[in-house]
Amino acid sequence: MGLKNRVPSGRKSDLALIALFLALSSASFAQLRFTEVSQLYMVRGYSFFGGHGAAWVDINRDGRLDLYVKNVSSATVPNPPDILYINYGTYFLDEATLRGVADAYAEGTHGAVFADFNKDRNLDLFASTTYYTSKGVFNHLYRNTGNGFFQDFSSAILPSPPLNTTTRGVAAGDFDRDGDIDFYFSNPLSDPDPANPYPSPPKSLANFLINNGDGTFTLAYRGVDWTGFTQGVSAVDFDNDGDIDLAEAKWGPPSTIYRNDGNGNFLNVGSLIGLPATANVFDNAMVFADLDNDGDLDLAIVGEGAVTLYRNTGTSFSKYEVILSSRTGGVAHCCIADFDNDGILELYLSGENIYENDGTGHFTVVPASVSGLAASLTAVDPRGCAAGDFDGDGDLDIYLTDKRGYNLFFRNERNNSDWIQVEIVSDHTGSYGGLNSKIDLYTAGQLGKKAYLKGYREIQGEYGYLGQDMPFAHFGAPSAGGARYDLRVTFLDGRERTYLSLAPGQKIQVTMISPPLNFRGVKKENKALFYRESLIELNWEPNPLNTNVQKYRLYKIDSGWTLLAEVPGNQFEWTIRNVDKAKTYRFGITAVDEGGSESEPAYAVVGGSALQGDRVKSVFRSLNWKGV
Amino acid sequence: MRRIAAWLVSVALLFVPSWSQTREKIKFLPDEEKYLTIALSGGFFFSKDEVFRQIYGDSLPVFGPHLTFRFPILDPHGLDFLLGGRFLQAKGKTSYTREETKLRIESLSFSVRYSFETGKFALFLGPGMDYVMYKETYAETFPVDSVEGSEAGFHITSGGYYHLSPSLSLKGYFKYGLAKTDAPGFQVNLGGTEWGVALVYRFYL
Repeated sequence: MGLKNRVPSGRKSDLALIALFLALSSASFAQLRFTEVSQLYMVRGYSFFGGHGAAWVDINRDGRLDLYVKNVSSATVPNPPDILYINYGTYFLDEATLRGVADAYAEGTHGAVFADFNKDRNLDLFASTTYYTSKGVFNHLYRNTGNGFFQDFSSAILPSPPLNTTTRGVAAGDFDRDGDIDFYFSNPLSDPDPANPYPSPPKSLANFLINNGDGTFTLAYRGVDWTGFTQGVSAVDFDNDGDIDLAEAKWGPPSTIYRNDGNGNFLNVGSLIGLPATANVFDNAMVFADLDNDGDLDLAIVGEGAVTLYRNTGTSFSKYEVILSSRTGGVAHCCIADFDNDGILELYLSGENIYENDGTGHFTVVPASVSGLAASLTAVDPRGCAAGDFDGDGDLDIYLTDKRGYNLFFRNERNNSDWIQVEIVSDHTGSYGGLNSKIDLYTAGQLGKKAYLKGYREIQGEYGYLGQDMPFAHFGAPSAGGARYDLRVTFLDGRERTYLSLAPGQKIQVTMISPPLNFRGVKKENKALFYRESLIELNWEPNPLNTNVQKYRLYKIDSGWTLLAEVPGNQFEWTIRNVDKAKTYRFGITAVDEGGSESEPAYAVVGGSALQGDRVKSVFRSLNWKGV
Repeated sequence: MRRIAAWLVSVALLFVPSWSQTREKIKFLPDEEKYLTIALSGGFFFSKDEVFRQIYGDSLPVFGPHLTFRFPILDPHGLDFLLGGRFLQAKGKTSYTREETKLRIESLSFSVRYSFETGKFALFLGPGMDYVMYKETYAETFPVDSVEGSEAGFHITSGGYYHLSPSLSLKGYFKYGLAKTDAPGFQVNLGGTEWGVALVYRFYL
């Protein structure tokens, strides 16, 4: 009887449930909290605005993410330079002109992607040049010469890139699987009219820059026809068959996916895999992420007033949810990432709110009053956005560009240790960044078991509408109860690296191959009667993590890196003859596997005062690994 | 013990007159004659340089010709002028990499010696000058092909002749040389001691 008396009435019960729901919701949302800090960090962009795309990249390899902002012209300001905000920790400074990537041509830049196309561990840049009226403009390649300074490398494109293209999205990846980074650019023709996006017939134009591996690129057509004005481009392995496919968001013709045949030739398969065939739509971005945490890439098409979600069924895409925009007109882009480090992906819509995922790919808006993204809603004409952990505190911050207003910068205040980040220092090709490498996170001890999958990522370059997130995979990895995780990295060629029992709160640096151990050197004197030679004996030990070392590369380091020798993989010593007896020498050694993938270097100092541990790394990092 | 001492004294007393008798009877060379000798000598060189010894060993064979003029002053005293050449060649290994090296040292010497000529044997002692030429050749893997140079030095020499006939003598000698070179950028001591013998043929002038 007493129990019965305590049972609430029906109305009370409803109220209690609502209260409970709100409490739980707010408790969940409460983990998401951003602060707008664009003025604090001096990253608001130009007073004439024009912000379009954003990329978080550490271009000078100082361990801090820098920010590249792609700008287009305004009516009064032609030739708008792009902005390269160098991250100095507590502030950013625009050094685009100083560092050679202002790319201030004609009506500005839309798409731009950073990728290590020459395997020197520095991120290079492929930047589009927007054409409306100016003649003679073309897309540019910039080579990072080390420490984040760039040199125009466009002359390496043969034949010369087409003039006056209206490129929007661009993409980078090893499309032909030959071991180096190629590029793709959209709209490879002059002056297409977005208002009349129906050419007939489709045009087969050269729109790939195929990397020849010798410092040159060949302009080529690989099966991606121009069928209508393209906005954003994404390059992912959507069908998980080990090659990089292309997705294009279009105005007019339906957005579609081009499937790679494995050799870098593409076929339009949109209508075969469940994508809408509706014409006269105006999509801006196709964004891929594992929304339901089942180990494959689902799809969000960002378009007219909505984001449409498609679930990857393994063989096709199935539409299952639409997120309506509160803005009238088109929405440009969305970032999908685990912003609250709870292990589940959220979705941030450019210039709008953030949406919480229930873990199965269904999203609920998080009120701006909770998320702190009220300023996002005030953006005048929001375009691209990008997510990156600029302050290294283990949560993802958001940069939002605005064509007609100041750009916005949202610092994530999550600040906990429930995260694991994965930086691919050297992939199977030896390139930095590991574009299109796949990364799975599992509960410790359950590696490979789908039921214990805690996250799946594929490293991407520019994606959606002109966004490029930081070149690391970020996983929310709750640490409650001393949780630990296993990690598997699968490179594009299918080879894997695994890391077991990882504690949250750390960044894992992955190389396809690991550097040798105990690298050291000693200076000796070799005497003849009338000649005294000083020589250096270097020796090292094989790293047991490596199973297929083909050779070791020895570098001498002074103002740059000079390759001294390539030593067979079964040899663990090397002698350098006739050195200066009084001089201090610095050396780096890397291991190279059969696929040509090169490890991070191990370092040795011979002669002079000995340097230890992090100090050695710091000194050598300042000397710019492989900045030859 | 006393018996042994007595025996030794007896032997000594027997030899003294015997030696003076021999000197008188078996005198091969005429008194106060100028003569010229040519000789071919061979011996061993013991370097003073530690690295030299490390690479090429403690002793090396040397050989070479001599030409000597003797000017009697007052019998049995005289003055010798010697012009000689010396040749040394050796193989060794560098100290650390154990690469093969080849050493060749050629020297020209000029000595002025006091000599004491008894007719049966002669003793000499005197200083001289050397001109030493050296060349060291290295393995292909070595940073340089070869090093060569020359240096002047001094020596003091001593020894004796035992006359086998009026024309033929046997010579034994000791030579202590001083020669250092800084030419390679560090100091190499080319000096050392040399012990040797020579077969000498004599022409009377």
